[in-house]
Amino acid sequence: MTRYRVLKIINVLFPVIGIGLMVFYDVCETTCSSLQGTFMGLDLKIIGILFMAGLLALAIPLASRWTGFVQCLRMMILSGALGGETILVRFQVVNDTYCPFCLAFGSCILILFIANFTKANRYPALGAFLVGIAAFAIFFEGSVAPLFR
Amino acid sequence: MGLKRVSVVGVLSLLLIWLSAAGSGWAEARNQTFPSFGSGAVEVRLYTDYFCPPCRGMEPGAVQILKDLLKKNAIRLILVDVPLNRLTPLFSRNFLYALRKNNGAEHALLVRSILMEASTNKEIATQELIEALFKGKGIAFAVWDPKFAFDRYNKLLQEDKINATPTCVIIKNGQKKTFIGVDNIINALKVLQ
Repeated sequence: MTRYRVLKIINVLFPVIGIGLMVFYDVCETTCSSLQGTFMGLDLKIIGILFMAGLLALAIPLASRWTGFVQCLRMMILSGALGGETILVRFQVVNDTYCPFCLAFGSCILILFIANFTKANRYPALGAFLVGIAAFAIFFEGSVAPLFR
Repeated sequence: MGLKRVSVVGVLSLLLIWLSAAGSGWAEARNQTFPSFGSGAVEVRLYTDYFCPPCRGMEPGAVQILKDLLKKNAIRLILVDVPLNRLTPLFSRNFLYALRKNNGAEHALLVRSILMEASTNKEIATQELIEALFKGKGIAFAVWDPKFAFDRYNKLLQEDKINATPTCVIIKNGQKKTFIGVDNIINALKVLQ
């Protein structure tokens, strides 16, 4: 199996896993977690599903017509998401409260990032990574300990 | 000499004021309603949210076991609401309003079940509608300031580091164990039976 083929499988498989994780987290949990987060007011679960759906759309054969552009776009999206994940993981560490589904979702992003990373895209990727960190630092709102006010 | 006397009288007066204030605080605490039932050796703290589907799912099974344990006086049960939803404080306040009229365990568990069922109806989101619900179900209630109860809830939430519902904390022989999720809680309660 060629490297290209493996990459193609990874680019389809992990977004599907990511969507599955978020759907399962939303529907089939046996507990309700106080660890909740929004990005610009939108639930992170919805953002996660939309994000992975976008990546999946980039993996369809139609998109492969613009290989170079699509590859660069995918890399930038993943870098931005990785920047966002940095803030989300930091939030969990600081509050000493961990969400297994969110960490598994973050792992999917990390695997996709590593698989798609090429030296050619490193500068746009770095830029997107920093933008991701800045965007989540500004627009992410999380809550951990629920208290009566 | 005069100055000394004035100082002593002043200090004694301050002490008296402080003691009377503290005394009224204790009296106030004694008069507060709080969902704590039974006097068994094992303390069971049950953390739930009316709007959490797994909590609702656990309710029928858990209630039966809890009633049984309370009947045997095996436990001291504390029901703690967890404000995961923006409407939880409203529901929680009304739960305490109902307890003000009848602070029996059976009644508390009944009111909880009614409120859990009501949480599935998105239209029930105001004080007036909950009052109408109580009136419809024949639940007496009295409006009071539940700040004391909410403060105690907050203390317990922080002490037990609650970040998910349902959670059950069982304190037995000085040892504290935490159970999260419906199955774990039901099994832990069954062990106490």
